[in-house]
Amino acid sequence: MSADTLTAPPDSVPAKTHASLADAEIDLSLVDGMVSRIGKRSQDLIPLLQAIQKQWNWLPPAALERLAEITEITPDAITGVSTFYHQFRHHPVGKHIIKTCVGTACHVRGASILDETFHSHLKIPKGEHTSPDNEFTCEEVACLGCCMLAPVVQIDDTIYGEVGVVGVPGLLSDFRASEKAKAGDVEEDAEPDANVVGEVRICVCSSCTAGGAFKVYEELIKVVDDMRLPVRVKKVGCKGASFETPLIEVSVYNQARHRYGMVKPTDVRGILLKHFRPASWLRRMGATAFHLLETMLTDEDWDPPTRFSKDVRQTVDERFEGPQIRCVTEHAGVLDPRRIDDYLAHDGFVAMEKCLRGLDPEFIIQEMLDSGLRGRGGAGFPTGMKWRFARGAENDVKYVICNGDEGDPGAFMDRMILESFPFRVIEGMVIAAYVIGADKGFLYIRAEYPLATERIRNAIAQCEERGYLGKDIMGTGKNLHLEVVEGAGAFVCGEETALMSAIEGGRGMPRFRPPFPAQAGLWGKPTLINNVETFATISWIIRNGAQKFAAVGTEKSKGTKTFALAGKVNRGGLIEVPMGMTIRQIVEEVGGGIPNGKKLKAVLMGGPSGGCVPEHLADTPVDFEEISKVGAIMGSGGMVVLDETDCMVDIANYFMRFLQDESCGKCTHCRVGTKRMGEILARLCAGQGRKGDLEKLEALAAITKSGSLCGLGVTAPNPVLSCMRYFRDEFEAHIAGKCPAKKCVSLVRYDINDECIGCTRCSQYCPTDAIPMNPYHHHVIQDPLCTRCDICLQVCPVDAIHVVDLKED
Amino acid sequence: MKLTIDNIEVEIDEPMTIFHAAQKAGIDIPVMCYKEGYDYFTSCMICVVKDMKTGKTVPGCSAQALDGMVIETQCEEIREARKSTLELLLSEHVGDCEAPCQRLCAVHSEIPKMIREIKEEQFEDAIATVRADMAIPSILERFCNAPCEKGCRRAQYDEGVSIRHLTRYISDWDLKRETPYLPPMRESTGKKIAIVGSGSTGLAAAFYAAREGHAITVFEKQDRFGGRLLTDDFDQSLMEDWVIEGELRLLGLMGVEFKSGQTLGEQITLDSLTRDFDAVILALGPTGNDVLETLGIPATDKGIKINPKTAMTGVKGVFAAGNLVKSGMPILKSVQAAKDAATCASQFANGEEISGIYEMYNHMMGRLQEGEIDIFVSGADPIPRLKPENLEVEGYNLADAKVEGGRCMHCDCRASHNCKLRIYSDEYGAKQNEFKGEQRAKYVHVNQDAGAVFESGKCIKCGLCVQVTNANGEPYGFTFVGRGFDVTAGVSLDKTLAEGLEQVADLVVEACPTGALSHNEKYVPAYVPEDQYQHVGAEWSPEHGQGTGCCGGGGGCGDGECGGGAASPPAELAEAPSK
Repeated sequence: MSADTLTAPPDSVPAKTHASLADAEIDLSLVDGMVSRIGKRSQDLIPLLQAIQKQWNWLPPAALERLAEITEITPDAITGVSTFYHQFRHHPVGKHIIKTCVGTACHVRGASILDETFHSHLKIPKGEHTSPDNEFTCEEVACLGCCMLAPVVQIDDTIYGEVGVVGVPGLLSDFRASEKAKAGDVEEDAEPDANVVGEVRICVCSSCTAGGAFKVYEELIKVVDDMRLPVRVKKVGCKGASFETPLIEVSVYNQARHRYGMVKPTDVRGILLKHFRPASWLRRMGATAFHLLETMLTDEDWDPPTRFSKDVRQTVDERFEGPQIRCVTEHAGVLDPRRIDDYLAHDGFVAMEKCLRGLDPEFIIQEMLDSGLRGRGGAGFPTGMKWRFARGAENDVKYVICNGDEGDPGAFMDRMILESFPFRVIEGMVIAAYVIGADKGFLYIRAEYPLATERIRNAIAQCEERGYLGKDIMGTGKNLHLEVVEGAGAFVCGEETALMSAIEGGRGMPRFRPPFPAQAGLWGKPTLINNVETFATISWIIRNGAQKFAAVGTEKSKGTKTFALAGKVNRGGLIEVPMGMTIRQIVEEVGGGIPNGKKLKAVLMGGPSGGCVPEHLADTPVDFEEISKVGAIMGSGGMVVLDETDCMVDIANYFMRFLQDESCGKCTHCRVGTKRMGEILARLCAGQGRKGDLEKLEALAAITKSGSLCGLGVTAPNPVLSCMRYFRDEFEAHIAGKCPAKKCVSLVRYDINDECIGCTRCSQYCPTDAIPMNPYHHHVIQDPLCTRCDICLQVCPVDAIHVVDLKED
Repeated sequence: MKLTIDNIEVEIDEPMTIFHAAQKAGIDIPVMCYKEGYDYFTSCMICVVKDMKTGKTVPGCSAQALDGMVIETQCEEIREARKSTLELLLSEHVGDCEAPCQRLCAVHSEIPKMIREIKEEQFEDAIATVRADMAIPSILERFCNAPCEKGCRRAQYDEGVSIRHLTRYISDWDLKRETPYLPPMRESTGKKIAIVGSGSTGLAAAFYAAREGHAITVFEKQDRFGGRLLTDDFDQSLMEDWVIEGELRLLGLMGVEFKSGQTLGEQITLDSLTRDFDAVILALGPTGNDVLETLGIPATDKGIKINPKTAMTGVKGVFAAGNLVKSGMPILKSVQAAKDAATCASQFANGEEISGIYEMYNHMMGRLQEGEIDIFVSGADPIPRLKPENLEVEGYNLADAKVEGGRCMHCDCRASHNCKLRIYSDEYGAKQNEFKGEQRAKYVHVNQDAGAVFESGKCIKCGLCVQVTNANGEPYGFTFVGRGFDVTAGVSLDKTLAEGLEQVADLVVEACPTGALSHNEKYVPAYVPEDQYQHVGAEWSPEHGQGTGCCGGGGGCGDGECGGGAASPPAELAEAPSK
C-alpha cells in the first residue's frame, strides 16, 4: 500500500521532537466546558478553536475530535478552518512563543535576520522551530502593528521594540528574568479623588508598550503610591507620536502641560517631583532617603530628568502635530479610552443622540454624500452610497460589520483607533445601523490586536450598562447588539466576502460578487461593512456638518486621512492629515525627514495591494485618484518610507512572499500566479535571475490581475509592477548579479577596510566565528563562514566594515 | 430577459448564470470547478467569458445572465485567458497523462490499459486496446526492439515489465480465434488507396488506412504476401504460418484487397496508380536509387525524398514509408512510418489538409524524485520479471501473463481519457512549461484500501469532492487543508482515505474533474463475499484452461481453441510469488 497519510506535512519534523507532548493525555472535559461556555453552532468554531489553543497552546487532535462529537460543527469545517488560519497550531510548541514581526517596516529595518538569530541563540536545529529544552518556539508574524518601533518582537504577551540582532541575547535574558511588561489594562486604577491637583497621562497601547511604556506606567503608579502624590495616573489613547515613546504628559490642573518623551522608569521619580509635592515634608524626606538608598543598592545610575524635560522636544512635537488635522483622532492623548465618562465629557455620543432622536436616515445618508466621505479601507467607495444600498435592501434582518482586520503589514491605524477611540467606533456603528435598519452588528478584529479587542469589549460593556448600546438605546427605542469576533490570522479576511465567511465560522475564502453584501451578506442577509476609520469619522461629520468636512481635502477626496507613518523616517507614528497634502510634506514636515542624512528613495503605500511612489513623484497629493495614477493606491493608510539603502527588488520579493502566504488558495491565478512570481523574485534576489525573467514577471502579473476573484489577487501584482515601473534598472542589475542598494545578501559580501584598529569587537560578536581574533591588527572576514548577519558592521566603533558587491566588475 | 451569446440571441425567463444561458443556446462554456447540481465555487476560472458591454471578463459559471448582455465565449482574448489559466494549473500538476511505456511506443499503444485488461481476463477489451493503435501486433511483437520495456518505470526498481510478450500473448490469442477482433471502421469514404509492397510497412499501412473507411488495394510483386517478413531477415522459427496468415485474414475481413505478381514499373506504374487511386503509399522495402529513378520517384543520393511532415514524396498524392525511405529500420519504426503515411494519405484522399497524426496534450512529470519509485512499486506485485524457458518461441500462457501483468505499476493516469484539465489543455493549446515552477512537488498517491485512489498532485482545488461528501452525509469526507499555494483537498480530522470515503467514493470520483480522485481497481467492496473475489495474478485452475485459453473472454471453454498454446503446469504457478 502507499503512503499512509494524505499529505506529508513539511513541518512534521518538530512534531516528532515533541512526541511526548503530543501524546500526553488531555482532559477532554475542558473541551466540554468550552462548548457549554461558547456554544456549539458553526459560527462558534473559531472561538472554540481559540479557546482550545489557549488551553494547550496548540490544537490536540483529540480535542478536535471531541468538538466534532459534541457540537453541530462538521469534521470538514473543523479541519478546513483550523488549517486555514495561521493562528492555529497543529503541533505542540514550547512554553514560550517568540513572534518576530515581519511586517514591512520591520522588514526594511532588518527583521529578516532576527528570526534566524533567535534560532541560533536558542540552538534550534535547522528546519525546526522549538528549542531543544522545549522552552521557546519561534514564529514569524505578519505584523504586530507597532511599525514605528521596528523591528518588533513579541515573547508571549510582552512586546519588545527596536530589537537589533546584537540585542537578542540581552532580550532573552531580560525575558528569562521574567520581566513582566504586559500590554493591557491589568488593574483598574482608582477613581479620581477630589484632592488631586493634576494628572499624568501615559499611553500604554501596543506600540507604546513595545517601547517600554508599561514599565514607566508601573513606575508611575509605584511612585505616586509610595509618595502619596496628589496626582492621577491616566492611561490615555495614543497621540500617535511613536517616535518618542514612552511619552508622558504631566498636566497640573489650570497650569501648563509638560510633555516628556523617551522616558525611562528611572526618570519617573524626578519628573513627578518636579511638578508635584508629596503630602508632607516628612514623607518627602523619607521618600528621598528611600530613593537614595534604593539607587545605591540597585546600582542604577539615572540621568537627571532634565535631560528628558523637553522644551526642545516640545517644539519638535509641535512640528509633528502642526500640519495634522484631527477628526478621527480628535482629543488624542487626552481621552481615556477605557472610560465612557471621559468620552461623554468630550462630545461623546452627541452625534448618535442627534441621529437617533429623529434625524431622518435619508438626511444622514445625504450628509455622508455631501461630506464626500469615501471608504477608508482602501477602495474609496462613497460611504453614503454604500449606506443607501444597504438601507434599500428589503429584509427584516440586516447586519452592520466593522472591518478591523487590518492586514497590511506596515499599517496600524485601525489598531490605534480601536485602542484609543473605541467609543467613537461604536458611535459610528450605531449611527450606521440606525440608518440601514440593522439591530445586530459585529466587529471583526485581527488576531494580533489583543489590546484593541480588550478595549472594544470593555467599551461595549460600558455602553450596554449605560444604555448607549443594546436594547432601547438612550430611550429612543432603537436597538443594536454588538459582538466582537476575533480574527485568527488571515490577511484575506480583510476582503468583505471572506470576512463574512470568517464570522460565519468558515474558511476565509472570498466568493464571487454579485451578490454584494448589501444584497446578500452575512448569513445571506443584507449587510453593511465599513472600515474602522470610516466608522470613527462619522460622529465628527454629524457634529460638525458635512460642509466642514468637505471643506478639507481635494475635489474628489475629502476630509482627513490617517496614516501609519513608518520606515526610514525620523518621526513616525499614527498621523491624521488633510487630504491633498503631498507625500513629501508628510515625510518632511510631519515625519521630519529621513534619518542619518540618507535620501528619500520611495514611499510604499497601500501595502501588499499598493505600490511605491518614487522620490521624483513625492509631490503627489494624498488623493485616491492621484495616487492611483502613479501606480500606488491610497490603501488603508500604511506608509512605509524607504531610503537609498533599500532594494526595490527585495521589497517586491518581500510583498510577494507575504501574498503567497496569505492567498487563500482558491483561484488558480492568485494561488499559482503569486507563487510563480515569488519564485522569480526570490531568484532575482539570490542572484540567479535569468534572461526573460522580467518579461515572465510582467506576463504573470497581467494574468494574475485579470483572473483573480477578490482584491487580494487582483492587486497582488501591484507592488511588483510598481517597483518595476520606476526601478527597472535595479531589476536588470540583479539579473546581472548585482544589488545596487547592497541589500540582497546573496549578492554582497562584508569587508573590513584599513580603518580597522584591531579592537576585536567584530570578532567577539560574530556568531559564526568568521572573523579570527587578531588584537591590534587588521581583521579579516572569512567569507565562506559569513552569514551576512550585519552584527559586525553594527558593532564596529570606527565604521571600518562595509558591504561590497560580491561580483567584481 | 434577452441576451446575446456568441451572436446568438437567448431568451431566459428565470434568473440563471451565463453558463446556463449559454447552454440554452447550445454553447458549451468550459467548466471544471462547477458541476450541475452543486453550488458554483468560482475557483478554476476556465469558464471566463467576455461581457462586451463592460469589456470585463467574468466567470461564466457564476455570473448572472442579465437582460441585454452581450457575451463572447470564444474570442481570442478569452481563449488566451483560458490558455493561461490552464498553463498555471499545469505548472503545479504532478503526474503523467500517459505512462512512459506508451509515450515511448512508436505506435503509441496504450500498454498499461491492455495489461490491466489481461489481468482481469477481459480479452476482448485487451485486443481492442492493442488494435486501437497497433497494426500487425502478432508479427510486430515477435521482433520489436521494445523501447517501452526500456523506459518502463519498473526498470528503475528491478526490471521492466515484459510488455512485448504480454502484447504478443493477447494478439496471438486473438489471431488464433475463428473470428479475430475487428477494429471499428469509419463509414466508407468511397476513396481508394493503393499500397505497393506487403512487408511489415505495407501490411501496417493497409491496416491503418482501411480503418479510415477507404478501399485499400495492396500490390505485391511476389506471389506470396509478407515481403521481407518471409525472408531470413526475420527469424523464421518465430514465424509460424498462422501468424502472417492471421494478420492477412484480418486485413481481408477489413476489406483490404490483395493483388500479387504486381511489380511497380511493369504491371503497375506510378501513373496508373495515381490515375486509378486517390492516394498511393509506396512500401517497397530497401530499394536502390537507380531503381527509384527508373520508376520515376524523385530521390537524392541519400534515397527517396519525402516531406517529413506529410510523408509525401515529390509526386503529389504518392506517399512513402519504411525501409524504402531509410533502410535498416527496426520493424517498430516501419510500422510507425506506415501509420504516419497512412494517416497523411487518408487526409490527402479526403481532400483535407495533411496534418499527420494528432498528438493529444500529454503531461509529463519527468524524472522521479527520491523515494517516488517506491510509491509506484507499492501499487504493484513485488515479484521479479517472469522469464519461463523457451519464452521467445512459446510466449506466455494465461497464468504467466496475469502474473507478469501484476508487475505493472499503473503509471498512466486513471483519468487520462476524461480528465477535463487534459481535454481543455489540448483544446486551448496550453503548454506544460509556460510557467514552470522552481521545484516540482512530490508525487503523492494514496491508496488505503478505499474506494478511490487519491493523487493530490493532480488536484485543481475545485472543492467538488468537499461539496459531494458534504452534501451526501459522509461522516468525515473531504475538506480543504491549509491555504495558499499549498492548499490541498484531504480527509477531515486526518482520517484515512477509506474513512473519508465510506459511502460516496463513486460520486466523488465521478465529480473530480481530473485524475486526483479515481477508481481504485484494487478495491474490494465490502459486500462481495471473499470467495467470489479473485485476487489478481494468482488464480489458476484446470477448468480455466491453459496457456492461450480462449475462455478468458468470458464465454467459458469449449470452442476447441482452448489449450492451443504452451501449457504451464499448475505446480510451476504455485511457485510464482504473489502478493
